[in-house]
Order: sequence, then C-alpha cells, then structure tokens
Amino acid sequence: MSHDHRFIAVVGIVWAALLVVSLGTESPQFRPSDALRDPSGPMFIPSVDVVQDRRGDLDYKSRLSEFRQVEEIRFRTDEHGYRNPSLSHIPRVVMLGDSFVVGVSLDEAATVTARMTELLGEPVYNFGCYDGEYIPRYLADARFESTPPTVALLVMGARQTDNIRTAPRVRATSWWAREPPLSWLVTVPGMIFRWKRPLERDNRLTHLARRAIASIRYQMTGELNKGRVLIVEGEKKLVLTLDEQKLYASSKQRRLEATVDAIAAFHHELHRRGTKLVFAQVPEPGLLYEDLYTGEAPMPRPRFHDLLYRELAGRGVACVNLLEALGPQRLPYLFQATDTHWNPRGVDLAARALVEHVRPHLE
Amino acid sequence: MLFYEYSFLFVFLPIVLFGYYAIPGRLRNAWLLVSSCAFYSASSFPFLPILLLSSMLDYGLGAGLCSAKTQRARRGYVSASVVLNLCVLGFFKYAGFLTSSLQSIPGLEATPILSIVLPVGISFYTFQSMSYTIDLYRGKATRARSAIDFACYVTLFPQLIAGPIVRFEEVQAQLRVRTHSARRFAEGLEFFVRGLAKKILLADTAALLCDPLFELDAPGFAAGWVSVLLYSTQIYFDFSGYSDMAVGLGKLFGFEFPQNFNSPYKASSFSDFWRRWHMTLSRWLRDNLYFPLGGNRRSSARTYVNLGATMLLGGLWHGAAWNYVVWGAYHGALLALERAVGRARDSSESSSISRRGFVFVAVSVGWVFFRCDDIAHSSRWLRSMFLMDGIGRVDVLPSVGLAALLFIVFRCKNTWEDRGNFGAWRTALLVVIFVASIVAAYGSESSPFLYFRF
Repeated sequence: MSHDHRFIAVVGIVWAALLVVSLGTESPQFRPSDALRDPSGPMFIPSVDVVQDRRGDLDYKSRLSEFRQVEEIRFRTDEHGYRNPSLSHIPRVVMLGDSFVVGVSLDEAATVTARMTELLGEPVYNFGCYDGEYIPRYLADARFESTPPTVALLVMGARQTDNIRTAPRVRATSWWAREPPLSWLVTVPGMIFRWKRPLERDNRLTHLARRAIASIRYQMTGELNKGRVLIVEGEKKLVLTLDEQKLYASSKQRRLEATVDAIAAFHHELHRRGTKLVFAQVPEPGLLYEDLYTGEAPMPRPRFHDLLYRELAGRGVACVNLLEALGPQRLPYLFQATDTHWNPRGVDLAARALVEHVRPHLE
Repeated sequence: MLFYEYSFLFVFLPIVLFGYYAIPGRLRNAWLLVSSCAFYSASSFPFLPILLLSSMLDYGLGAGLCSAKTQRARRGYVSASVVLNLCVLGFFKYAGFLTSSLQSIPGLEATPILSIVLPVGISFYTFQSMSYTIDLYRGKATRARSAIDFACYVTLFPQLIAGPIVRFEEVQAQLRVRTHSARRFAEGLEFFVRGLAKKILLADTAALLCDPLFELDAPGFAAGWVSVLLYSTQIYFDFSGYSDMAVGLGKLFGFEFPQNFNSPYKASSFSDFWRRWHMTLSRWLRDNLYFPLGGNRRSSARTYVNLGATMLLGGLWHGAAWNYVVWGAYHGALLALERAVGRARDSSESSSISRRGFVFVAVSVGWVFFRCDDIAHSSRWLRSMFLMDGIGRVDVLPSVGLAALLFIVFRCKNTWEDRGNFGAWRTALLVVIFVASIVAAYGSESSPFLYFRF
C-alpha cells in the first residue's frame, strides 16, 4: 500500500469513526428517527413513547462528577401529541408554554400540570411545546375553539419570553401527502433547516466535544461557566450563559414591546372566546439567586422581568409573579443542578401559587 | 452550510462523494451541479434562482458571443454580460449603501433606505461568471461544452461561497475530463484538514483573544496594537484556511483550483503582498480593471490613478461601507507611495526582516478599517494605536497568543509549499489535528468565515 493510499485509509477510518460516534444522541429533544417521521421532533406525534435523558442541558458545561446524574424519563404523548394522560374532553384549565410546561427532566407526577391537577382536584391540560409555537398552535387547535377552557395559563421560561411567536413557521408535517405539486420547493429546504440545528447541536459527537472543551477550560482556568457559578448552600450550580448574556441586554434588545403586544393580543383573542388568560414567567436563576453569583458584574436595572409584568398589568393581562412567590422559599435550590429547568420543588411551589390564582376563576 | 459544520462534514460531503464516484463519468458534472444547488440552498435557498439565472445568462451571452460574426457584436455581448452582472451585484450589494449615503446629504434626507438581503457568495460568483464571457471575448477560452458544464463551473460548491475566483479557462479542460488519482485525493484531504485546522484552531483562537479587546472603548497603545495584530492573524488564517479547504475539496472531485494565498505576511513590499493575498481576486482586478485602464503603460500620473481606482474598487468589492472604501484607498496610497520611492521593484531581492515587518505592520493598520464597525470606531482605534490615549495595558494571554500565532505566520511553510508528504508521522499529525479541529469546532462556538459576508 502506498503512502497515499494509507493516508486516505487512515483519514477515512477516523472520519467514519467520528460519524459512528455522532449517530447516538443524548438530547432529550431530538432523535434522528423521530425527525424522519416528523421534523417537529418527538413532540406532536400522537401516541408515541418519548424518552428523555435527565442529564440536563447544562451538563456539557461541566466535567465535575457531582453534576452527573444520568437517568431516563419516559412518557407517552396523548392523541394530539402532547404530554398528557388520555383525556376524553378538554379540561377547564389548559396550561400552554415551553419546556417548563412540558416538564423537561421531570417524572410524570412532577410536571407542573400534574401537580396542579393534584392540588386543584381536576385535570389541567398540558399544552407545552418545545418549539415555542404554543400561541399559534393553541389558536389553530379546533378543540379550544369549540370547547373553550375557562382558564388558559401561559407559563414560559425567561428565554422564551423575549422570543415569543405569534405565527407558526412553515409546517412540513406530512407534506408529501397534503401539499400540492412543487410544494417541495418550499418544504424541503424548510425541513433541512429544521433538522440541521438539532442535528448539529444534539449529536453525541457534539456533546462529547463540548464536554472535552469544558474540561480543558476548567483545567486551564478553573471556570465552569465563564467565571459565573452560582453557590447555593455551599454547592456549585451551573447557570446557562445565554441567560446571563440576556440579563445584560437592554429591554429594547429583549423585544419588550413586541412581547407585550403579542401576549396582549392573545389575551384579547381568548377574552373574545370566553377564556381567561393568566400569564406567569418562570424566573431565571439569575434573578432568584442574584446575590449568590460568584461573578462581579451587577444586575442591570430596571429588570426586564419587572418591566414585562408592569406593562402586561397595564394592558389588563392577569399575571402571577412567580419571582415573588418563589423568592421567600428559594432555598433549597429550585432548579436542576445541570439544567436550566425547575426541579420538583420549584414546580411544586409554582403550582401552588398558580392554583391559588386560578381557583377563584373556576368557582 | 459551513465546511466544518456537522451537516456538511458528516452528511452532505459523504453523500456527494459517494454519489460522485458511484455514477458514470458523464453524469458527474450534473451530480456536482445538483449537489452544489443543495449546498447553496441550505444557506441561501431564496437566492438560488438568481445564482442559476446569472449563470444561464452568461452562458447564453457566451453562446451569442461565439456565434457573432462581427467584432462589434462580440463587444455588445461581452458588454451586456458585464453590465448585467454588475447590475445584479450593484443592486444587492450597493443599493442600500447608496441610499443610506444619499440620505446623509443635506436636502436628500427623505431618500428611503433600501434594506436588501445580500445573497451569499454573490461577489464571488458574479465575478466568476462574468470572467467567462470576458475570457471568451479575449480568446482565452472556448465555449463551454454544455449549460450543465458551465453551471457546474459557476456553482461548484467548494468555491461557490468565498472563492477562490476560478477563471473558466483554468477549469475548462477539467470540466471535460478529470483525472482521479490516489495522490490527488490524498492531497485534497490534506488541504482540507490543514484548512480546517487553520480556521478552527488558529483563526478562532485569534478571534477569542482579540474580540474582547475590540469591545474596549479606549484600548490604549498596547491593547490597540495587540488587538489589531491578532486580527491580522485571524483574518489570514480564516480566509487562507477557507481557501485551503476549497482547494482540498476541489481535489477530492478531481479539480485543481488556483492558489489563493502564498504566505502574504512574508511579503517584502506592498505590491508583493497583493501578489500573495487573495491572489485570485488580485489577478481578476489586475486583468479586468487595472490593465484595461492602462496599467502602468501610460504616464506616471495615470499609473497612480489606475492603481488608486483599482484598489478603491477592490475595497468596495469587499463590502458596501465607507470603511472598505477607506481600506481600499489606504492600500492604493501604499502602492502608489511604494512606486514613487521605487521600492516595488526590489521585491526579488533578499528582504530583510525589517522590511517584511514594516509591510506586515502597515497592512495590519489597514485591517483596522476591516475590523471596526465604522469610520468613527476605526478612528478611535487608530488614535489609541498611535499613542493618543496613553500606553494602557494588555493581559498576558493575548500577548502570548499573538507571539505564538506570529511564529506560525512567519516561521512555518504554507500548505502549498509543504504538501504531499504522507509518511507515518505526518499522517499521525494530520489525523490528530483533524480530530482536534472537530472537537474544537463542535465543543465551542465557532464564528462563520469572515469572507462569507462579502
């Protein structure tokens, strides 16, 4: 074998090995097999088993063994593709929102809708979506048009609040069956775009690479997360850099006006349908544990959270301030150690605050 | 779709390579054309029709030019091609700049600003497409065998987005017949891996070190210079890395693309620098702008004007902003000055370190206009660099990083000088840097190639 052939063979083998490594996925949100069935990912596929990984979406930022907790969460979607037990009718309370509502890394009984169902004594429908399109999906869902629920709770994490979608993106679901000829000119690129990001972000090779880089960075600088680590009760907690960056963005950058307009428009539409909208933002750890940051940079004032609540109240939207509700009981820690999402304790406290607000509307 | 992205490296490229070698030779150009369209669609699908129309337009005009009986008709065809291509480029790239510039003129404040999305790679593919009709007109190339061959030439994904700007005559024979050998394929892999490493391990590291410095309001002398010199290494490794990857990908499919970088920071004069930096653009501007204007065959004054005009338009080619105009003018002035003092002709002499250093530093000063957001930002930076804001200070890490990067720039051979050695150690080294580049690319945030925005 000549040197040229040997070089080609070696590079080819390494290339193939990396490809094989990448084929696995550790993401709770994406599996290639699901994408092939429906580009939206594992949600919205009726009656399928979804497997989540409890590793957490911040795990890759850490090499510390104390953060590792690999466990699987399994649940089954309902007939419409949402995380619910099978229900014969639409309950009086529907909760729409993002991954906080879906219940990332939470057991079935620990999701916020399950906790509310238990506290209220009647079912609360989980209309959580990963893709941030809960408002357009809700408005397009004939079930809520024909049988409007009494209360619609809009609960979302801070990262979603400034990226609220009021119109759906191009749908690629079942395009081969429903769309007219040549529609592939639009839908195929749409599908490529939709798959590209999760494919690149969530394959195992990317996860391993992120962990390796985080390890190197930690060994070199001692920093887990650009020097901003949360110390809660003597324990290190990770915080998503994106959250921190956004904390330092201005209200204009965070699209305060557009967010308020979108929620207010949704409020008016629900009012027309006879449904009461209640809004709640899940506070990010950066707000709840502001004084515990190891970083030196001060929080910007006024806080986006406060401006959002003030503006929404001014537009007549009923709000539940979870920051105030969770603040006094913020210890022990209310979020997952390696994840941006709340833990069962955080869910329980939030569910109690929401139930308190919702119950009067049901009587 | 970037060359180091997972979707390219582990999905697109294997499929295209497998398909290419699996199908009969006569279908390979068509396969490359379809693949290139898919590649372009992944990042700029709405503009795919413009790319294809632009290609077909030049193909049609080229056909007309070849069948024209009179010189006047031939001139008409080539003029139509040049004008139409420049109109497309001008509309997408410069209409917004023009309207915003008009708005700043007293009395024209009401001019509406056009906000137009720039199609990816338009600066490159319009020049490339246009060069076909120009080469036909000059008799340097013959008519393309088919529309598929020509569209394949324009859209070829390795060089579609950011060059090298390949002339039709250079690949015309390769579009008909290409030789595929283990040697060429191995070299292609080597170029690709080395380009990947340049981009991910060197350019992105330089960016990591210099970006925080560019956030400073008044950096002072030390941080001002360290940041600019770091950016000089970043843009070099970024663009030459991309070019190496493009050349490497071309070789995987049997194409030989021209060299685009030849250790430009080792240049001993400014004219030497432009013979080594973005060589295919320099060549295009020389052949299609500088020479037609008269080059240096007329009066001295006219030569200076030609030099200035070529560099000014070269600057404007990079981007529709005053920063790039100033950058082009700056380089035009350097070339003119060099010519005036008679240093350009000395480039063949063994150059001293000080001369190379001077050229590198002067070129780096020019990069201030490239890196800063606008003229005001550039002015502020230059003030700091020239001691108007005090000495200031800079951390150890950027300084050490700069020293290491400069060592590589000045002491290491470039990919073209040092290639084709596939001994055991070299193979092991290339595999290690390939894996390291992948880990670094996927384990942290990589910035897009700097030249993608042009």
